Amino acid sequence: MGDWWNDPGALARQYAPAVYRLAYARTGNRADAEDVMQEVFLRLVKARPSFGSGAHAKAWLLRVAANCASDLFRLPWRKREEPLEEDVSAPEEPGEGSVTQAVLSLPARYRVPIHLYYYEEYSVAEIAGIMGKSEGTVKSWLFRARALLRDKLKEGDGVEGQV
Amino acid sequence: MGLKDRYKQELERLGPGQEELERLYTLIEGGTDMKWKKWLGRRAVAAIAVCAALTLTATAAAVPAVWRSLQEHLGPFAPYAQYIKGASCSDQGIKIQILSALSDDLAARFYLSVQDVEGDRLNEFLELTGRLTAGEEKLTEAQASGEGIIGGGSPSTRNFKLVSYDPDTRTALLSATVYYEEAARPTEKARLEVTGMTTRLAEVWLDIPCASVTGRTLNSLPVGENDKVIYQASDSGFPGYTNAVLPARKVVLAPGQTPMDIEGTEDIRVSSMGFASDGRFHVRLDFAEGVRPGLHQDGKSDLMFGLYGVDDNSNNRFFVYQQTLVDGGMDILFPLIKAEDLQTLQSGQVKLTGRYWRPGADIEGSWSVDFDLEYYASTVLDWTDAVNGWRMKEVTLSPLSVTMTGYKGDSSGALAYTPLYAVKKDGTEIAAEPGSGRYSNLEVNGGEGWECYATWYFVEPVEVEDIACLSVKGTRIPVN
Repeated sequence: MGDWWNDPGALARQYAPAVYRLAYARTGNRADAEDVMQEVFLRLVKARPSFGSGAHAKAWLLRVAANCASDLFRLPWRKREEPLEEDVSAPEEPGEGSVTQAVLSLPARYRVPIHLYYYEEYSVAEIAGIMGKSEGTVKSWLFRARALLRDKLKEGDGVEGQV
Repeated sequence: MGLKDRYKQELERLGPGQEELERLYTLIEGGTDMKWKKWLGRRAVAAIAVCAALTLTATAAAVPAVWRSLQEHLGPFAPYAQYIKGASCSDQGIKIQILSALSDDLAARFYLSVQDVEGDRLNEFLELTGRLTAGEEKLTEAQASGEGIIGGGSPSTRNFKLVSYDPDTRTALLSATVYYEEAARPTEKARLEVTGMTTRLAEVWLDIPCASVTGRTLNSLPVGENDKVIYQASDSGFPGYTNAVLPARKVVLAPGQTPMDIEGTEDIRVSSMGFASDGRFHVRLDFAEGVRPGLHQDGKSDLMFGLYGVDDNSNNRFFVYQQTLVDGGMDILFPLIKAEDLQTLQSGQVKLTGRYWRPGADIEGSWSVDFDLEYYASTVLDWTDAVNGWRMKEVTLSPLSVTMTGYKGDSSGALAYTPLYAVKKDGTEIAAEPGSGRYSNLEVNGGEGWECYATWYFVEPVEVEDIACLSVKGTRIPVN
């Protein structure tokens, strides 16, 4: 049996959900996340890069997903300040006060690193590698993002009265 | 359940659906000749609309102290601001009034006053809950015809920033900015809606310099029965750092050993800072009466700490800490910072960020007001040469800002964060600070090359007819 991490089909079965979820964390939209997921694997099929391990392949897929989702996400100015608009909520969308909604309401640049940190449990160094940024930058993003996230969640959770 | 677990659980309910996955698997096994869905990427944005000419109407509707503060905050932009008359609303004895706007088709900054006309419930910690909406989304031709993705509605902001508070008139001045950039534009109608306000929740971004820390062991106390851990070392979330990093001896610093004020707050001060009898670095904070950290439903503190300015800030150990509520304040233990770190510690500072409760008032109500917005329409320059290798599709100029949209075969040679100057006909220059922007790979739309969109905001307003050219990256773009 060959290296499964160089088989696009095996990679899709293994990592497509991770790609989708990162794209969802960046775009906040299921249809967009599905488009990004498909685009990422289309690029994989076309490029057929050679990976040294499953982890290497996953990092490549997530990096491409982050780039594709950023290109798709054409309203960075609005997301920079705004929580989710009421009129985009749909039955499948995260509910009020959810962590997902709080992540989606973060400034755009923080969403991918915070997703990689919380969901994929990557280290700062690994996130820096995936995003092509310095560790200091990622650390700074995560620091700010976590502060904002606590702020957002507090709005929904009701910080008052918990002491 | 912790935040991380909640996030995972929620995301896993949001897809992808099995049907979509099966479709993907089938497509991959079928190769690239199968019918993949069309990639919905960025599309070129239509040219900026030409808007009505701006007229300024001045009215001195605000209380004098707030008016002075507004003028100071506007600075050189004051003569270019719109002064809004008669846009006010009242509820619960609180009057909210829209005072001024400074807008072009890139962004709009608004100023509003909030005055307690019945009591003295407001202060410099005032925060509003509400939304200011001003403008409309731009639609591409495809979107207007029902194709393509459409964003989240009218441009708006929920972010109200306190500019000043005048206790004599019990009036606060706040600002709020709506960004339009390439995806939206201002309209002549705007609306403010506020549903509540509070002075009880304060946010801090504080620095505590560590230069005075010494290597001596400070007096320490065993963790008392009434002391409560509200943030554990493992909560810092860095992989590999669990509560196992905590020292065996559970102590906190005794109070009042190295008292120090913290710049920017009277609510929190340093009581003791240094090495405790457990050999680890601690900071003990004193809270003013009625001050307590905000806690989440899981009981975790909202306050966050970190050691910055140290030699090796990439090391996560500087960000692992435990918070313990003690009598009158809090002890912060950095379990991985020991005496051998003293030298690097002295070069750094403890950063404290987060929200805390303080004595104040919550006021719920309903305030809403519609008002007219006037804005400067940008001029589209008749120039399409290259800047730093980027072939310009469009350059726009207003008294407040500049935008550029360009194309290049590759993404090298950035325009973002590049200084730009407006050169006046008399040869003097006015600087513009880089704003946000984007780079897009056009391949995702089946095209070639890269597109960039960059923005700049002038540090003082310009008269467009007085500008000879724009200067950026050694290129001069003629204006007049």
